[in-house]
Amino acid sequence: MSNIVDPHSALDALGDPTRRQIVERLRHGPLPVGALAAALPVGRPAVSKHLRVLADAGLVRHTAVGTRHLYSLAPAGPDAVRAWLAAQWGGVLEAFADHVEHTEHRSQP
Amino acid sequence: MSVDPSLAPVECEVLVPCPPARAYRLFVDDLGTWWPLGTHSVFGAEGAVAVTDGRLVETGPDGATAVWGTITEAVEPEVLEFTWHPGAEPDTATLVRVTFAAAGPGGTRVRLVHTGWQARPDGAAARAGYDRGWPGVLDALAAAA
Repeated sequence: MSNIVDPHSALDALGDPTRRQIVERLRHGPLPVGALAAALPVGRPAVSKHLRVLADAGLVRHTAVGTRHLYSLAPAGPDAVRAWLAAQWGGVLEAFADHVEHTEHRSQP
Repeated sequence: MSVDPSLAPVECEVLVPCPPARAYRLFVDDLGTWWPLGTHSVFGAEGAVAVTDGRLVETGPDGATAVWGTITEAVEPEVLEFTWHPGAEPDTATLVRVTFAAAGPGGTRVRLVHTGWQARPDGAAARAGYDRGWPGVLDALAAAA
């Protein structure tokens, strides 16, 4: 499995309320699909499907401990999204710097 | 291996060629001029944004408004801090802190730190606005943190 996460895929995956709830529940530690389904208003097959989408997006990973299948958050997911967000703020600050340079240049005698 | 799913602060900075006092005023007073609305807004390039009554308020072309956040600390010309929840309800707000520090002759280092990802309560996920690009993304990110 690749450790490189496409932030757009991750953000798309988080665009669904059920998937966000799954991610929020996994913050507290790994869980089997049954425990996730028990806490959500959707059935186990639907949770499995959402977990697949989250795994494909690099946000969730799957481990087998004996006969137990556990799902947990993949650390690379939030990192990719954070890097994406930093780039967005970078764009905002660059726009501000451009404005300052333009304004200061214009006000020179 | 343990996984820490919490999101570290997002940090970035830029150098601008004027003193902190001037940079601070330009940041606040000219917000509507320099902010890249086309790519970073709720309503898009046709909207407008300004600091009004201690809040960052965007107005869309049809007159609709969106409050991006509320100023929580303003120590001119050093610190401007505001809550951040564009396209979402205030109870999902994160926090943005912008500091202005003198750097070199007549320059200012503008540093932005975005924190507060843990503050978002569970159960507030069923809201509109996740498909509006950047602001919705912040919201989704807060949910993921």
